[in-house]
Amino acid sequence: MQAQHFPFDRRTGSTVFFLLMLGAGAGFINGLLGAGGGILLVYVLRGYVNRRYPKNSDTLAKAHRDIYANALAVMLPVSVFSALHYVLSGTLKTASFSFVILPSVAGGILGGWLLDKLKLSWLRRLFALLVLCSGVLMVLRA
Amino acid sequence: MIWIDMIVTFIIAVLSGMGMGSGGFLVLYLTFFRKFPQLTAQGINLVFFLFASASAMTVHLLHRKMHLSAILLMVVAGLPAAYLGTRLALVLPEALTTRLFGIFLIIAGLPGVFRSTREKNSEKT
Repeated sequence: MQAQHFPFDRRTGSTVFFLLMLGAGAGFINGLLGAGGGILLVYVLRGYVNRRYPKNSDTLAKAHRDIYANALAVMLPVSVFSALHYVLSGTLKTASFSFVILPSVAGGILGGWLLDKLKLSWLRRLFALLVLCSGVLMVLRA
Repeated sequence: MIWIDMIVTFIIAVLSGMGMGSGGFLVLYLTFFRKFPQLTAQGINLVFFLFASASAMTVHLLHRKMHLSAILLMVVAGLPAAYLGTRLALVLPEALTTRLFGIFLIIAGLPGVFRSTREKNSEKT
């Protein structure tokens, strides 16, 4: 069987259902919390490909990097939708978010370029620690 | 102060562009240090993510394999679910939303930390 980096070429009923449920979960979390949908996608999809490819293989490493990019592609339109809803509901005014535009564009481009330059293990460790620290601080703050 | 906001946003955008997400850091920064209301911070985070991920995608499209059919399926289900989530966020008390956010991040972060530790230990043997 030819290896695919992201094995969803076979559109079985269970695969379609899995992707729909995953997308719904990510979308719901994104709308409720303003973030987190991408985290869910990355973790679940990574677990999915980990069961399919040999550990420490180049194919697995490439699949992990593909997952990051595909998760971004899913969350982009979902976040547009959620953000529009926040603006239309009056919760968010243009003046309050204008400062993020320029640095987020510059940082996003640099981050996209860095994805291929950094070791995957460091990426995972950094991601997990950042997420954990954020969570603890927010629970303590609430 | 705006310069600090922009520098923090830039750093978080780099992480987001690498596919790691913002880790809730921007929401945390805006609510903890800048005293924004939780919902406003969440909304700003969404806008930030739009621009950061759209920019990162211009790089990813050149180098990564994109599975359009899988993406489409997840987006089709994600949009109505995002609407429901947003509606719920607007009616829930702020303290509850903050706590839910924090709990979600802890649940999301713990497996990654232990998995990384296990992999590090297995490399030593």
